Amino acid sequence: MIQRFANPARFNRLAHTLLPWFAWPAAALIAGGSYFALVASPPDYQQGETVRIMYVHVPAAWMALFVYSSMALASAVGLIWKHPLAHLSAQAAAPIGAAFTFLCLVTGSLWGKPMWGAWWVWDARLTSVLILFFLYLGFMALSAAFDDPARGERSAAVLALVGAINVPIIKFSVEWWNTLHQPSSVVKMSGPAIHASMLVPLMMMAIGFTLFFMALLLVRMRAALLARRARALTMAGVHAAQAAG
Amino acid sequence: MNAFTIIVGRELRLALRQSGDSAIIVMFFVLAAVLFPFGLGPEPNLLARMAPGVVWVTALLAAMLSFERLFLADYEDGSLEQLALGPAPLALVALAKALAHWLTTGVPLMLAAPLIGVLYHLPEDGYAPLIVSMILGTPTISLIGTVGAALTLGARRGGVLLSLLVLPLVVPVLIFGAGAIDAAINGFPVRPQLMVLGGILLAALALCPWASAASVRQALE
Amino acid sequence: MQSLASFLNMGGHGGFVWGAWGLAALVIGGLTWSSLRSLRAREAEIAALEAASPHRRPAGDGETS
Repeated sequence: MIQRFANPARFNRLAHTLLPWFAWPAAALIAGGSYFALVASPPDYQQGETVRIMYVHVPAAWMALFVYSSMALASAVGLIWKHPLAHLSAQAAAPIGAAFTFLCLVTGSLWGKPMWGAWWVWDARLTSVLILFFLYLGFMALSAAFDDPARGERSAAVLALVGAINVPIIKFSVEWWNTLHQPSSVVKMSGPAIHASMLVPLMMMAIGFTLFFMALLLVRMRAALLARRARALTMAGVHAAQAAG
Repeated sequence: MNAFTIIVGRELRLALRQSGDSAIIVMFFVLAAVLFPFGLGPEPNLLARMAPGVVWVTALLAAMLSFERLFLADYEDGSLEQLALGPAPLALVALAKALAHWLTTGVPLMLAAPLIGVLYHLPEDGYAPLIVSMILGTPTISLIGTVGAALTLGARRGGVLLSLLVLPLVVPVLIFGAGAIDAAINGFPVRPQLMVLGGILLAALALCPWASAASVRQALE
Repeated sequence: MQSLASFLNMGGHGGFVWGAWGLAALVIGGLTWSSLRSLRAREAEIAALEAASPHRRPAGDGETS
């Protein structure tokens, strides 16, 4: 089925059809989730109002991991089956994932300061996200480091797979490291025990973010396909001019 | 296995011809470790506490410097294409290169590490885990670095880019390597950390040659 | 119902909460804006290229040869 949409024209039609189905529900869920998170949910009895940061921080963390996983999957598809849109989708997804990772880190910092008085804590989850951030940056840097964009895409795809295999190992190592070096007061960013009134806005934000990512991915992939076609047209124009002149 | 030994032999001969390269990397290793006391003060207890981490981090940084030329010379003069087309599987070639790299870079770093232990007042209990953790950890670094070298073949700013790519991936080795030494000097069991290091090495042995081969192949496309 | 002032204050942690949510809005908005802008720019580029060589294949698809 996926092979059908290897043709860019078909993909564009599919993207055009799907986009509103992702974009509008995303907007609604994010708006609704924000309302519940900021207004209609209770403050935590321990953390007070700062718990509201969780409704951004935790979904951002989930997106950081989700986007990287989809990049790894796309990279595998691109390397094994050579689907022409696979690498393109990984390239389009990377900046979005990196942005969510960055958001997770900074909101984590803003959450930590009022809670534990420090702008950064080497908590296991936050530290793992920090390493994931570097994996994103590495992917984007590698993609951009070659004069031939196709070479960059393929290299980055291999890197994404290597990174994906490494992520569980990194997570395990960082958690072990964290328990070893734990200060006397237990510092965990796990937040309060989640109960129903908190779960609803959390899920709304998480699903809203996911749909937002998919909508944005379609937009970016369309732009990338156009860029590819523009390059091809420019090359053809140059060749035609050379042939004529 | 014959092709393997031939390639390893070739790599070793090439590397030993430029033995100055290994020496420079070891010198950087020691120099980087020497810098910290200037920044933090020479208080022995502080240095002793820092020793496991400093040794491992500076070893990693020094190793990063050594990967750029791993495939580059062969890539530039066409021998890499020959190797790819040759009878030996490319994964075997990658494994051979990683082994040669370990012998000419990892082992010298490992031999120089106790010197840094001395500079940092590392307690006596720390030396054995230092060596053993490096025996288990430096081959992993060679293997992962080989993948990085293949990925960045022909890239702009390849050396620095390689470090950016490889360092996050070797954090687990750092954690358990330094953790092993740390455990020893604090009286905790060392074997769990060493077992994990061994496990990571086995996983790297299984996966990295294939990843390197795939990277080289698409670099030659 | 709490007043606007206490809502903004967030129990004394207004800076942190609104900082976090403000950044989230910035990131989401920024990603959207930059992606749409890039799409518009590519579409304009294609339109210009296709106007310059009218004998090429029609339709703004991304077919490469």
